[in-house]
Amino acid sequence: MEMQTEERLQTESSLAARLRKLHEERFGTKLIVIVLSVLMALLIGAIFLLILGVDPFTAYFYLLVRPFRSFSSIGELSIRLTPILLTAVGVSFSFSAKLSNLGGEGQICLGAIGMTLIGTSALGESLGVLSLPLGMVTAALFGALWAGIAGFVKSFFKASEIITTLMLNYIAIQLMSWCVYYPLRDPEGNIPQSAKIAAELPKLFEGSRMNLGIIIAIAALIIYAVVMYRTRFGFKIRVLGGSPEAARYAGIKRTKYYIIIMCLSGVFTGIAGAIEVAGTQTRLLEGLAGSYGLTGVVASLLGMLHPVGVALSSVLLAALESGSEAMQVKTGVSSLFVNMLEALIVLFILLGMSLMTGPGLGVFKRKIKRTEVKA
Amino acid sequence: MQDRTPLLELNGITKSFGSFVANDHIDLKVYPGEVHAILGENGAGKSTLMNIIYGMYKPDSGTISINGRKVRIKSPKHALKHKIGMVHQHFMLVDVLSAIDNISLLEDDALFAPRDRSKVIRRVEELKARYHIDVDIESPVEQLGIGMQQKVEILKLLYTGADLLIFDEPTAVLPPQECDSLFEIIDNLTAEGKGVIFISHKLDEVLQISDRITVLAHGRVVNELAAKDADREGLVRMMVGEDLDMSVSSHKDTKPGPVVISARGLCARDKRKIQTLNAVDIEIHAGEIVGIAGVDGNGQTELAETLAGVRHSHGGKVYIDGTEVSTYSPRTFVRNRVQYVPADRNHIGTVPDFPLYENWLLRNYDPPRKGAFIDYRKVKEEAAGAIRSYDVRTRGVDERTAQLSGGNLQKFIMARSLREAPKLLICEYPTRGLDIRAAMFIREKIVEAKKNGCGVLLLSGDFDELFSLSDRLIVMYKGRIVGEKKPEETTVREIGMLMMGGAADGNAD
Amino acid sequence: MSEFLTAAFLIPLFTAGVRMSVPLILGSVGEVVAEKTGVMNIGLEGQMLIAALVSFIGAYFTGSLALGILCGGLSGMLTALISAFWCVSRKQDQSVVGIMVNLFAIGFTNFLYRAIFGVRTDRAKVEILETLRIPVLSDIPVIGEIFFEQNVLVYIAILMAVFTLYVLKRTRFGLQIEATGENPKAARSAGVRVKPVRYFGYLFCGFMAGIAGAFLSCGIVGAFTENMSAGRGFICLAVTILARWNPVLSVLAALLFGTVQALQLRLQAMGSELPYQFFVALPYIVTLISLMVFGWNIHAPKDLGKPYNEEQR
Repeated sequence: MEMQTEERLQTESSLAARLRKLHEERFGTKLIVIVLSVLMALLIGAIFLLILGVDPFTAYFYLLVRPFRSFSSIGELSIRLTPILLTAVGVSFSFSAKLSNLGGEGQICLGAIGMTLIGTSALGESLGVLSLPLGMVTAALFGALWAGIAGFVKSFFKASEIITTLMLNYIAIQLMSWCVYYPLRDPEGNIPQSAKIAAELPKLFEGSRMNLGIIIAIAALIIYAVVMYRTRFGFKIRVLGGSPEAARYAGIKRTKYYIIIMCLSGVFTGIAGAIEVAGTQTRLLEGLAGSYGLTGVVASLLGMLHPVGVALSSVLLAALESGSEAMQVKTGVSSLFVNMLEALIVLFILLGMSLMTGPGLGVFKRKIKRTEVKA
Repeated sequence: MQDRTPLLELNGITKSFGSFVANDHIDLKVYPGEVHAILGENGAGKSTLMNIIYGMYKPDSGTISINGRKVRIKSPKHALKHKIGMVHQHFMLVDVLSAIDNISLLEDDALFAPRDRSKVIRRVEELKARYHIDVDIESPVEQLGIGMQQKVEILKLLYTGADLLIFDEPTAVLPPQECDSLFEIIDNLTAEGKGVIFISHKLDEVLQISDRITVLAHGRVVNELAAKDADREGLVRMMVGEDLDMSVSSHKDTKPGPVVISARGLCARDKRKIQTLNAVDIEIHAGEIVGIAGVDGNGQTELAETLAGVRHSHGGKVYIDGTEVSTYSPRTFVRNRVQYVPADRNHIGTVPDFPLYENWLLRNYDPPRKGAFIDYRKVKEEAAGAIRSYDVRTRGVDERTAQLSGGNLQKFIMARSLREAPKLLICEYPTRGLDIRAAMFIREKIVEAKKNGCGVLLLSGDFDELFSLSDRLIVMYKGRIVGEKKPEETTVREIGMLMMGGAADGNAD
Repeated sequence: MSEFLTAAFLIPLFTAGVRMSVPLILGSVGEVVAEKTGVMNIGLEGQMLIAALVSFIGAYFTGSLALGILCGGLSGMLTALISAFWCVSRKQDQSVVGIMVNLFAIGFTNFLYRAIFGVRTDRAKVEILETLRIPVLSDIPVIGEIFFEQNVLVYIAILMAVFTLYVLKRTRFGLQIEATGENPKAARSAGVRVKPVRYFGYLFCGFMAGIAGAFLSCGIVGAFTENMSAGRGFICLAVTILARWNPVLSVLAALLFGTVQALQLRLQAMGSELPYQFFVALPYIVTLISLMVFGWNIHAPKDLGKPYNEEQR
């Protein structure tokens, strides 16, 4: 036994070690659980669709296949993916420290306001394309401040961030509504929305709405991966999430880091709002944040905070969201239907994982025991 | 004598947690009117066995009989019904509730009927008088000291009217004097014909109080014998499986060097913001071991934490090598080579979900770097090296820390703390809950550090450890230092007196 | 400003405030019990929303509001059963499961409404609960009008709060609940069955949230509209904290929020100088500030939010 340990420590190559780790974490089983969960959710969804008298295959075609089918539909997918991925990255930072940042929506609103503020100002007009980076920075700052409020209240008043971030969402939505009705309203239009901003994010390809935003989102994901797994700062975040007492022992100041982490989280969600304005909508209007905030949280949880997982689940959710509108038009099933699918997928994954690691459901356990007795 | 029906009979009880077999086919008989001691090292499976009897765990196989009738104990509720009661090692008290409310939980009234408090109070007062137990039954339990909390636990046990009483390591938290009154209560109980199971790893008290002794090791029964036929050496051999030289290599002839850390008028508050450290002055020299004795919760932890820089002092000053560092961050302390081994290995000393190599980085402010990033290859190499030289039994540096046994985990933490030849090593209950061999290993490492010129602050609840390792013994009571003795010039009894605040001489302040 | 301080403005304001506070009272009383047993029911919002629809369907088809409300309570309970199974039996993270229940509810209510009522332009409607004047008490000037000329659920909500306080403080079951939330291990060792108690916490809270949802659709609106719970479930969580886990104090905290909501509607209607968005956001701003002022979590049950594992060593 000791010899084996020695040998392993010395001879194991990093690849072999990684493979063994995957095996020990039961990677294969996890994958099966995830696939089964998605299938189960789709099955239940199919039953619901049948009740509505809609052919499930048609509906799922619009949700799962059509978004990937053509060059332009992938472009549509990408403009959904951008805010989802950025929000998922943002909230993953906070979830890694066991901070439940549910305030993605509010932070997106604030980011959008920040971008518009610069984009519609005289300064923005004069800067032209350069107003974009300036707008992004402002958006990041706004998002960080908004999320930082929750971090601050958590650190100094011990108020649960779950509730404060939700409250901040409602406030931000009204703040944005106020902005488009009063100070930022397009003086020439009669609908409540802002004027067009000075510059738009450049499109990447002809014939597709895909824009520079997706590159920024992918860069954000890479930054997340590197920061979390290669730097001391990421290490500290994970220590805070793993055991707050150990963090204190390691000299990581909780109050300080909670605020920093929430702000960092807000930076990414704020940029998501900026890109939604600069890349997709070109102006500020009500309901712009949509359900991206919550979808980002789902993507982050579904991806289990792992960069690759977050990327994959974001793509899945972006497909669902971008397909849901086509589905609504073609089959009459509300786009809210995908919310149900998302929730079911996460619930089934949680259930599957708990069955995998835990002692199992009573029924199974009893069966196993009986066979043991027989043997 | 053995033709009576046993009060409790266990046959072939087996229980495993994952791949670890905690109890392996254990047989046990307890008769009314006798004290049956279960003796074994930490990790031998004593507590698991008791939790099975009390219905907290379900056994994988085996049978339990009470008064000759086979029963299945599915939960503590069943156990109480079968007249089994237990004083747990970690008290099972709801600490915001008073003793009365804690006891009322055991009542069997209708769920929604108004509670009859006065009835409970009357019965508890009766019990208090009968067994000479004096304790405040109206204040929330959290306001009581550890000794008092144990009395509440005992009252709970008596209130159930149980015939079989389990005491799980009851003396671990008590100073020597209070043990006597506990033994008196146990004597009274057996005189009434109740059966008592007494768990301990302290040989002397087991020999003193019990009628029969069952020795457990590695989850199995090694032997069962009458107490009158037992002797210390024989019992140790049974517990450990061989003769063991329990003495620590001699080290007390070394001369202490200059002061490495000192504190003046140090005050600190605990988690609940209650001041638990009151104006403590302390000095630790290079190359000496200073032992701290005290009943749990008398400010020792706060002292250790403030000296380690983990907790901010609330008054007073700390000096390292004569430079004031009171308001500095833990980083300063670590850079000044102050290392700290906390009592809770699993959640404070390490992050349970991290692999070993990442826990190697905890409290390491200058990890190997490649540019701006941590060089994890080097980190793994360092950790693997330490694992080898400290004989940490693990499957590799990628293993999750939660998978390690207590002894291996503590070796790992010691390796991490001693990595850079610390100037000061603070050890908080470093061997609590370890088996004898691992404990010996840790003690040797502490002595080795001392010989290398490191100052050591040792908090411990184990008198053997304190007396054999320390050059000086400091006793704390209610956040103050109430006495300082040389181990050669004092006795366990005297230290025990001081721990309870009985400072006969003028040493306090 | 003086126009606001007349009886003609204030009495209807407070009457509406009491009415608006009812879902908050019901929800937070349920949440107090759930949290006292150690579980955080974040899915309250979703339970309220589903119940709002189910109670409406019940009332629509049976023609009886009472049956409808009962359906609402039961559907809230059923929804809470999801959280209970996932969090108590399978020991999953309570906030994650709660968020998912809320997300599920949004999609599910949309589906169910369409499945039953189809796509049509005119909204299905039911009669709302009648005002029930309490004799004698409603004759007290001002107070009578505000508190004793309300529909039956208003009285039930307040009675439930008082009854819950009695159960928590005076009965053995209340003691068991408190012990379970503070230290489940100790509770179990004293013979308390921890899992059933926590299941009860979820189910009771789900039932109360269900009645609250029914109050929205059958009690004041008479129809179901999309996402009609509109964050009230989350405000219930805040009310619970402000009330320091005391059901009777939660009535007071809920009245505060209800009145702010009523004020917001009135000021909006009166065309005040301030933009209406400010008033819509007002309850949330008040929640946020009050969490900062009173939100010290010192009274929270110690084991709140932690899954309980029986054989944990």
